[in-house]
Amino acid sequence: MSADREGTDAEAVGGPRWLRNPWSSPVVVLIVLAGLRLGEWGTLERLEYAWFDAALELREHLGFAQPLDPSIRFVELSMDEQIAMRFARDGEYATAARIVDHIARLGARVIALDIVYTYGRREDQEVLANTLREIETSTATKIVLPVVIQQDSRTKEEVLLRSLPDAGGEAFPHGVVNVSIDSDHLWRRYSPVHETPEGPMPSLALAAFSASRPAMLAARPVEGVPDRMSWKEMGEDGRVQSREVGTLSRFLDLRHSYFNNRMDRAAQIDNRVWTVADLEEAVSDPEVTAPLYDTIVFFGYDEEFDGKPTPLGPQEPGMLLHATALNDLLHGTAIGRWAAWGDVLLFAGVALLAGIAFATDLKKRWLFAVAVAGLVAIGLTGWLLIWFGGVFAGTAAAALVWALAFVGEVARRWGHEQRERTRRDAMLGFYFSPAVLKQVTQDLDMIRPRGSEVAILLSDLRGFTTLCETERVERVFELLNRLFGVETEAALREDGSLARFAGDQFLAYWGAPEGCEDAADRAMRAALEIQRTLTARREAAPEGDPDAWLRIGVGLHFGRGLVGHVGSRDYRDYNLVGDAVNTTARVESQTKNYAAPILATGEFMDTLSNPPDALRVDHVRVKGRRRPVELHAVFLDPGAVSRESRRAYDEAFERYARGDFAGAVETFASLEDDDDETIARSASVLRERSTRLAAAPPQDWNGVFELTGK
Amino acid sequence: MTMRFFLFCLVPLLAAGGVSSEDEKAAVALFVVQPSAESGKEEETITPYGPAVSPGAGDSMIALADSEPGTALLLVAYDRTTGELFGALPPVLEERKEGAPPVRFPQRTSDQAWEFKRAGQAVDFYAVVFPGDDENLEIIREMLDWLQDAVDEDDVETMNLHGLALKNRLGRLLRERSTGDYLVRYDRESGPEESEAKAAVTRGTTRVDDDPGNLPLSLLGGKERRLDTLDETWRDDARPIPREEGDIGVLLYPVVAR
Repeated sequence: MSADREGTDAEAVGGPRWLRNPWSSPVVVLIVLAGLRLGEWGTLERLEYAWFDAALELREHLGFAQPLDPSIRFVELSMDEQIAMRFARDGEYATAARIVDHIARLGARVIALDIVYTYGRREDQEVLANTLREIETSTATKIVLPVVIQQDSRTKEEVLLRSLPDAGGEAFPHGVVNVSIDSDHLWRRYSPVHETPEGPMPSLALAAFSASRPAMLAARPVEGVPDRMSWKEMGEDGRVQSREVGTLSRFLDLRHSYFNNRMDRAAQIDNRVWTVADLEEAVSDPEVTAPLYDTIVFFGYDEEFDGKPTPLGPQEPGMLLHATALNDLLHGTAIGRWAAWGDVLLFAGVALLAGIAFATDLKKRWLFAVAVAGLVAIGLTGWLLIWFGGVFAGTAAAALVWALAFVGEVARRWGHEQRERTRRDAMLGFYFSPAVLKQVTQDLDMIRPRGSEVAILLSDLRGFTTLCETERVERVFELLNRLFGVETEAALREDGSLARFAGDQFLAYWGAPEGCEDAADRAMRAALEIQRTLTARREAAPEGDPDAWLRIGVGLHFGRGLVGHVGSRDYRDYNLVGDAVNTTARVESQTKNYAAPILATGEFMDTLSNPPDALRVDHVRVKGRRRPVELHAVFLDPGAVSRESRRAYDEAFERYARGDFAGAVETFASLEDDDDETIARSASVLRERSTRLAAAPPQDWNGVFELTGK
Repeated sequence: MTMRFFLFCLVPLLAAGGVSSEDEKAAVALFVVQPSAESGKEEETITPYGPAVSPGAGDSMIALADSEPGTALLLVAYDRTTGELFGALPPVLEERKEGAPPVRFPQRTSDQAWEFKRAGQAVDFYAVVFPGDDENLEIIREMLDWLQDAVDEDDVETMNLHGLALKNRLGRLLRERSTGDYLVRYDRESGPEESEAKAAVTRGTTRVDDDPGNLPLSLLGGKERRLDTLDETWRDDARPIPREEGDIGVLLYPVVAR
């Protein structure tokens, strides 16, 4: 007998515990990704950068990006032949002085130099410094000079390179021009404040921002926290808000390339980028009126001389980075990267959602749909956070958590299904024929509890109790295994389903779990094959061989049976139960009374499409059943019973059924010596009964005799 | 029928005539107020600000402006060097009504003067006309209320923050235009002398109807005015604020003290 034991030895039967747990995959992926985020993150951070860049690029393509603030302008210095000649003739510093003066004359509010004039001779520095001083005293233009933090080649210590160090340049506001470079070698991050050997200093963008505001509203170091600077702004609700930046770099909200002025054209911002020639033309044209009025102008080299790779292009002038940082300060659009723990929390949230989705036991196609929808939602959320929240969260990695969790879940399910299938096959293989098993495994609903019309075959070994008492255990089991081997083979050949082996009893049925139109025919064929095989083995058995004991009775019945798993969590069994099984058992128990190898009920016989050679031997009410059953003895050899005997039995039975017990006794008596054992024994049983009934005829005789024993 | 037709035609004509009246068109005039040089003389000298007249140290200025009924007029002055509200003078925003006196800056009720303390002090003076239904108007009105609260509380920092917010908003409006469309460059003749380094720089001129032939003669001639009659005569010295119907009109005067 087979059994399915769960829980007590889960690993052996249902696979490892993790394979059965839908949370396994999200938890494993979460642990791995969280560990990477908190530890070595390089490769995944590059994935985040790609996602971040895509967000900004898509926004620009969708037309949602705004151009740089119209107050921001560029004057680029290209090292062309003309400038080279001027450098040679007037000197670099005097040329720069002239350019800056032009910018001031055209009305700029702030000029932020992105060229560090450090190494010139003192008198050259004086030319530029004097011009800058005159601009500040005679116009409203403010000057911001750059400063560079660099490593001393000898001492390897950081040093500060200020502009115009020998000409009093330190008197001008300075801004650091160093920009962070990311692990993918692109420039997209910017620190508003820098730690320098001389203490915290603002970046060029922050210095220009401060210069563009009234002095009392400029950014100032936060008291007690010198590496942070704060300033006040007016909120939408008219309340004064304090904003603060520090050395932590933030991602630039790079809108469009320095060379792509499509957005400027759309916003009707003319002359964003000025060449030196443009400047000179403007100042010499009496028709031109202060075109740089109230602007913040960055003056720096063009991309040939100061090109830096950014997500927008391989060589964007460094000025663009400072200008974008300034734009972010003006509009509060800098994008902050979530801290590692923030990302880990995000991963945990995603893993939690994935776990919930897995725990709901979604079907495969829904699982796939949820996976895709989740990826889209996470990706979109990441972009929306960047676009509207100014937050750069680790959404690419979160999407990876989601995707890997689903891949893991699919793998887990596959593994679990494989194990389940193996387990099911192993378990159900005991109950069903291969053909039925195939159907069952394709549609597991088939084995849910149900009621079906089934043809039932039930057999019992004759004299089994005696054998158990007299024979060695090994021989008893040898006998049982031989018997069940024959019976199982015959039943499965007819696509029957098997119930448990209970002692020496064998139970097979047709019509469940799958329906079967010729259930009774199949059961009958199986019964005949079993009896014929056993008869042959018995007759051929050598002296003392267990085959000699292979004598069974077979009961056949057709009725409603209930099939399903029966048992407890620890032990259960797929089985057939119900009145039909009990009736079949009662019928089987009558086989020895009638010396019939096979006894079938009237219901069974009525269902047959191809009835075998059989004889109705009795009409009884078996114990425990209200409805009477006709008992039909099935003969193994067709034609073995003579027609006369059959007719005589039928005639005697008709009399008996009508209550003519005396008439029936005579005929039954004549058949007691019939050559066929079944006819003889049945006639004997009916003769004895008729004799008793004749002596005391029952008042309510209806042809049905009530059996009092099993 | 005839009378009805007459009225039908007359009413729109009268209405149209009202709107297009020269006296109601948006305009602004700046005056330089000089304390009397003669001892004992109480009256100040008032001269229209123009290419030939600019304030000097110790002088003050006043501005008078008007625009069509239903519009709103904003007058504000910023110190160009510091970016703060010049002399902590609160901006003036007035909705224009039929027959109302011209808007004055500094406000009539104010005891503050728009006074230049030293030579070279630079002021950006904005005169902006908003259509009555302009979306900026409500926000600016709110900003000025907050600003007035700061003035009342003598909170200079907050006042300047509101002033900066207003300036940034005005800056956005201006940047939708070319400087030549709103910038009045009388300051080019009155600013500080150019340094040697700037010798080669040729200064531009304004395109805001700045041709001397188109300016009121008073702006060129420096004709004196009287404060008590200024409300009646100011239009003689005024410059129109260029404005398309239903659009915002703006003039920006960079003024530099001599």
